[in-house]
Amino acid sequence: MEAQNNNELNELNAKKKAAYGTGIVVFILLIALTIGEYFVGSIAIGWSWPLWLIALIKAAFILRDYMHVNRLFSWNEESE
Amino acid sequence: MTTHSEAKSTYRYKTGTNRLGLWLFIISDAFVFGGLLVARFYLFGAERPELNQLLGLVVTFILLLSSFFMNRAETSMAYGDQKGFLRGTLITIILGILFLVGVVGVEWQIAPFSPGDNAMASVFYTMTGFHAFHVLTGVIFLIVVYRNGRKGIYTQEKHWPVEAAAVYWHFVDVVWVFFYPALYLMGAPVG
Repeated sequence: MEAQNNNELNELNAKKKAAYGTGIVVFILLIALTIGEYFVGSIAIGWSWPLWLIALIKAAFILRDYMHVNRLFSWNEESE
Repeated sequence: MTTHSEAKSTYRYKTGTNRLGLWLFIISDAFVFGGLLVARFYLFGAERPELNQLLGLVVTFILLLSSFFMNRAETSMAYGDQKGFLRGTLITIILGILFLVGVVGVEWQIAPFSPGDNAMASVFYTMTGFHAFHVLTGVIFLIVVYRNGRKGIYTQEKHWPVEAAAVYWHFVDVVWVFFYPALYLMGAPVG
C-alpha cells in the first residue's frame, strides 16, 4: 500500500516537473523570438512579413502551452 | 463515495462550461484589438511613431516574464503546491504593475507627441491605453485570486478562478505580442 502511494507520488512529481519544464522552454523560445524580431525590425526596416510570422509563432506557443487551448476540446477531463 | 464522484463530475462539467464562456469573451475581445490593429495600418501605413526602442523591448520582456510566472502559479495549484501558486501569482502582479509603469508612467511621458496631435498619435494612445486597461483589469483579477488563495479557498481539484485568471493574463500577453511589432518595429519611424 505504501509502495503504491510512493509510486503515485513519484509519478505526480515527475508530471509536475515536466509541466514546469514546458513553461521554461516556452519562455526561452518567446524571449529568443522577441530578440530576433527586435533585430529584424532594426535592420530590415519596411520588412513586415517576418515580424508577422514571428508574432504568429509566439502567439501559437502562448495559446498552446500557456493558455492550454486544447482544454476546450477535452470537456470532461482534468485540467492537467 | 458516489456523492463525492458525482460532485466531482458536476464540477468538471461546470468548469467545461465556464471555460467555453471565457473563451467566447476572449474571442470577442480579440476582435476589438484586431480593429485597433487594422486602424494602425490604415492610418500609419508603412510608417510608425518614433518611440524608445529599449523601453519597448523591456516592457515586452516584463510581460513575457509575467506570463511565465503565471503559468508556473497555475501549474503549482494544479499539483497542490499552495506556496508555489502564491509566489507565482504575487510575482505576476508585481510584473504587471511594472509593465503599467513602463507604458503609462514612462512611455506616455517621454513620447514626442500627445494624443490630440494627429491620427498616428491618437491611435498609439488608444492602442496602448486600451491594452494597459486590460493589464490593470488582469492585475485586479489576480489580486482577488491571490487573496482568496491565501485563505486556502482553492484546491488541487477545484481552482477554476486560478485557471480563468491565468488564461485572461496570457490573452493580454498575446495581444501585446502583436501590438509590440506593430507599434515599435514595423515601418519607417516618423518623428
